[in-house]
Amino acid sequence: MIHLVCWAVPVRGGYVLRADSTARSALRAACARSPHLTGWELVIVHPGHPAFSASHMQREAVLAIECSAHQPPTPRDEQTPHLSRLKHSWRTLLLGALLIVISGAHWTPALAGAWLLAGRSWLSSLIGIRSPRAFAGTWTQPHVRVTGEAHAGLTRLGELVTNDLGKQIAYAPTIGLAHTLGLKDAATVYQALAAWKEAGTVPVQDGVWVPETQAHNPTRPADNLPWQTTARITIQTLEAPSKPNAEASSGLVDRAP
Amino acid sequence: MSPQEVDAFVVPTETGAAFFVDSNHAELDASDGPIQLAIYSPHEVSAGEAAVVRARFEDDLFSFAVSAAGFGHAWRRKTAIALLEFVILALLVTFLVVNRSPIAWMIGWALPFGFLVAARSALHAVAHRKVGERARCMLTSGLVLIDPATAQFGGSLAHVRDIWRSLENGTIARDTVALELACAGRLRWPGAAAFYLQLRQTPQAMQLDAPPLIRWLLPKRPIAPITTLNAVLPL
Repeated sequence: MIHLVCWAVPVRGGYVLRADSTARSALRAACARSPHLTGWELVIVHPGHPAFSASHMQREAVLAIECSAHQPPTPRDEQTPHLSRLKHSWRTLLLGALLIVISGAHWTPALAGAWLLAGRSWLSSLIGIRSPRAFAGTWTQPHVRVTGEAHAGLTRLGELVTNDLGKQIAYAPTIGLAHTLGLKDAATVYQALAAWKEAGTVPVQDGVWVPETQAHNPTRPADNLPWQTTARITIQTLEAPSKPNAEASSGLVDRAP
Repeated sequence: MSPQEVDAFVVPTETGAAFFVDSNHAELDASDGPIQLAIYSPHEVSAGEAAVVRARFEDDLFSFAVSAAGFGHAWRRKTAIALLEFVILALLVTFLVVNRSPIAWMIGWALPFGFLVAARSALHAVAHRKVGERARCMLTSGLVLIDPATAQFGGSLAHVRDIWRSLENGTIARDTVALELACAGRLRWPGAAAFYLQLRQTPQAMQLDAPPLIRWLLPKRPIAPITTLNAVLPL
């Protein structure tokens, strides 16, 4: 089972779903994992609204993960294996070329130069040292289990959005709080909102907008969140956390946006 | 098979608190059982925070496994290539010495840079083949359990308790350097000291701040990192 996280960032009138910053590399690492282990567990972390329903937004969550996988490549990603190899072996290639140039009629320096230029890499690929790893298919599995978990940091952001941002247009306070809480993905969403004004117009690479009417299931009973009743700062033995807001939905996911 | 516990700690930072996971990925062996995080925190951690830490740890662990899966691969064949390269180097050196060629002085000093690459690769493969085996095993059968384990190891509980108490008493200032020095000295917690050091000198900061020449000289990713994660908690 491969775990992925999607942030349900609270905004006015709903949520913006954004894949965690690690989702992309997790998807890439999943390519090399055994195919029988690549079941997907997608956790939507949310502010803990009692009526929040993860199963109502699983299509959007999957879309957010897919969008993160198709982000423009970083300079590190863009570096192809050939370019990387060239970067690491340019001294050797230069020395090989130099040996061939100064060899004159002698075969020994010419042989050494040819070895450095092409012989070593040819022999390496011939005897299978550089054989590429067989990759399994990834993120094509139809079974994605989507669950929801309440996140204390998002709860604070949600309170700020609900209480303080009633009629404000800008999201400046939430950007500051998100940075303070270390929630960089949430901060990115608020910065995008500050530029685009309306949550529904945010580009899909910044997040997927889900209106509150869709995200909240009014028939769902309210749960007590664990930290709302707990006194803090006492060293204690943690037990396996209960999952008051966890709700699982498995089965075929319609991955069309 | 009983799960292998990996400790995740909630420790103070200048702006609040942060998770860090004290794990040597190179030594985790998936054949010993599934991996389970045990979260040591002074206050209750919400399920969402635990899910984020688990996902980030898992991503880090398997990214390391992907990068280390090639370690030790085909070490016998690499050794054979290294030996062949030594033969070619010996021929070349003999030629230069016998002919007393002036080019020997010009290029002789550069020969080790070109002709010791295969030897270095073979040495690396031999030295880290166990790491490579464990990484391949991790990719084949590694599993991180969903639920965190009960945090019950006395030493780890004491570490978290001591650092937070020292902060509340005012014995340690809420400063990264002070916290690092306290962990390295009085609190005897080298894992946390390494975390604070990493917090001060993040690779990104080093990479961005350094001029190109220095950037070229900076050490690359270590073979077996003590991995840390940073996610600030609201306190």
